[in-house]
Amino acid sequence: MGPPPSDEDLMRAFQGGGEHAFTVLVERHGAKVINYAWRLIDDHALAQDLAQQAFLAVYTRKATFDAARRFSPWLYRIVGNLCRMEWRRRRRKVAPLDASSVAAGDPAALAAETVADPSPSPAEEAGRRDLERRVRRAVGELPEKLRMVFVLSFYEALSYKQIAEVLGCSVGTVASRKHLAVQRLAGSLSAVGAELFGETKS
Amino acid sequence: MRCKAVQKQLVAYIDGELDGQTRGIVKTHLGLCSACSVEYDRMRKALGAARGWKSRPLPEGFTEAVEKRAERGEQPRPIRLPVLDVRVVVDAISPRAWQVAAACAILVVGLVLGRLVWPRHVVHEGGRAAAHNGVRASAVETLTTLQKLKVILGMREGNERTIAELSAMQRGLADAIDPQLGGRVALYQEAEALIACGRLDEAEAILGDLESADPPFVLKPYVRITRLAAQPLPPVRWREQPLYAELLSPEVLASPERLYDMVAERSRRLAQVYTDVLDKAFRPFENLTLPTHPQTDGRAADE
Repeated sequence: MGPPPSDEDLMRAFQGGGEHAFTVLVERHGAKVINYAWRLIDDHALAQDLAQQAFLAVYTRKATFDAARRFSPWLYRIVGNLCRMEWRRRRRKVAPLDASSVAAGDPAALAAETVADPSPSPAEEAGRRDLERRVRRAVGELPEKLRMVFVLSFYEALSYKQIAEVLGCSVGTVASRKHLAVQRLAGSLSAVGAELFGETKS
Repeated sequence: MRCKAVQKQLVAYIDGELDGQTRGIVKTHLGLCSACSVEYDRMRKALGAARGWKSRPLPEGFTEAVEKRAERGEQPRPIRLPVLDVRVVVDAISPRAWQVAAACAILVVGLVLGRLVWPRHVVHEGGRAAAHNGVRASAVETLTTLQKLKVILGMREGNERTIAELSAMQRGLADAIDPQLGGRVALYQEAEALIACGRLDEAEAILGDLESADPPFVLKPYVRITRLAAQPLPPVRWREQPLYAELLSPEVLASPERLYDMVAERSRRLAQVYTDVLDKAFRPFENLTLPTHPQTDGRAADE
C-alpha cells in the first residue's frame, strides 16, 4: 500500500466516474468544512447544512474542477460563498444582525447550540462553555471580511498565501485584514486571555 | 523600525509570515521596547483565548446525508438572490449567456485597463478629446453597460471578483470622463459596499444625495436597483420593476449576444478615438492572463 491518494487524485477519480472517491473526500474534509462554516456563521446546525450543500456543489460541479489545481482552496471558496449568501440572507431578513442569539445571552439557545461532549467535570465544562461563548461573540463581532481571514488563518491554519488563493486577493490584503482582526480581538479577548493565563499559572 | 511599524508586523510575526530579516528586527525591537512587548503580549493572550473555540468532530451520519442528497440529484442553491422571479430568469438565461457576459467583461476590462494605466497627462488629454469628439456620451453608455453587467453577474454567486473588477473599471472610466463624475461613481460604489454590509442608513444618505445631484448623476436610474438590493424581500416584485424588465427583456434573454454586441460596438467607437493611446496602454498587459470564473467555466464544461 502506498500513501493515501491526494485530494486531487480523488477528484480525478471522481471525475472519471469513481463515486467512492467522493465519499472519501466527504469523510476527509467533512469536519473541516463544518467547523469552517460554523465559525463564519455561528450556528452549528446551519453550518452542517451549508457543508452538505458545499459537497453537493462539489458533486454536481465536479467537471468544473481543474485537476491541475489544488482541491482544498476550491472547497474553501465554495463554502465561503455559501456563507456569504447566508450573511446576505440574514442582513435582508433581520434589521439588527441576529449574528447569534448567544450574543444576546439567550441561555436556551446556548444550551441547544452546545453539544454535550465527553467532559471532565461540570465546573470545567461550565468554564469551557463560558470561554467558548465569549470567543464566539468576539469572533462574531468581527466584520465579515476580517472574520473570514481570521478563521482561515487561525482556526484552519492556512498560510497567508493560501488564504490569498482562496479569497482571490493579495497576500498584503490578507496580512492587513488579519492584523485588524487580531487587533480587534485583542480589545475584546485579552482580558479573557489574561484570566486564562492567570488560572494556568496559579 | 519605529514602534508603529513594528506593531503593524506583530501579527505576521506571530504567524511566522515575516522574512528572516524583518523577523530579526521585530524580535530585537521586542526585546528592547516595553510598549511593543505589552502589545505583543496582549495579542498573544487574545489568541490564546480564541483557542477556546474548539472544533467539533464530524457528526454521525453526515457523509450518508450528503450521499443521499447527491443521489436524489439535489442541486446546491444556485444563486444568491432568493427572489423567485430572478431565479426563473437566471435559469432561463442560456449557459452561453454567462460566457458572453464574461467575454463582455473581459473586452471592457481590456479597454478600460488601458485607461487606468495611462499617465495622468494622457488621461487628461484623453478626457478633453472625449469631450471634443462627442465620445463622452459613448463613454457614459459604457459606464451604464458596466452597471448592467454588474447587476446581471450579481445574480449568481461566485462573480464577486468580476464585479469588483467592473467597479474598478467604472471608476477609471468615470475619472477619465471628468473628475466630478469620478467622485460620484466612487460615492455610489461606497453606497453599494455599505448595503453589502448592512449599513443601510448610511447608504441611503449617499443614494439620496446622488439622486438629487445637479447636474443629474448618470447612473441615477440604477440607484433604484441598488435600493432594491437593500430591501427585505416580500414587497418587491422584481419583474415588475421597469429597469429589470428592460434588462431582462425577452430579446436580451433570447439573445444575450446583443448585450455583447452593444458593448463591443461602444468599445470599438472608443477604440477608434484612442487607438494610439491604447497601443501604449496595452503594452504592459501583453502577457496578462485574465481570471477565470468557476461558474462560467463550469457551465461551459457541462455542455
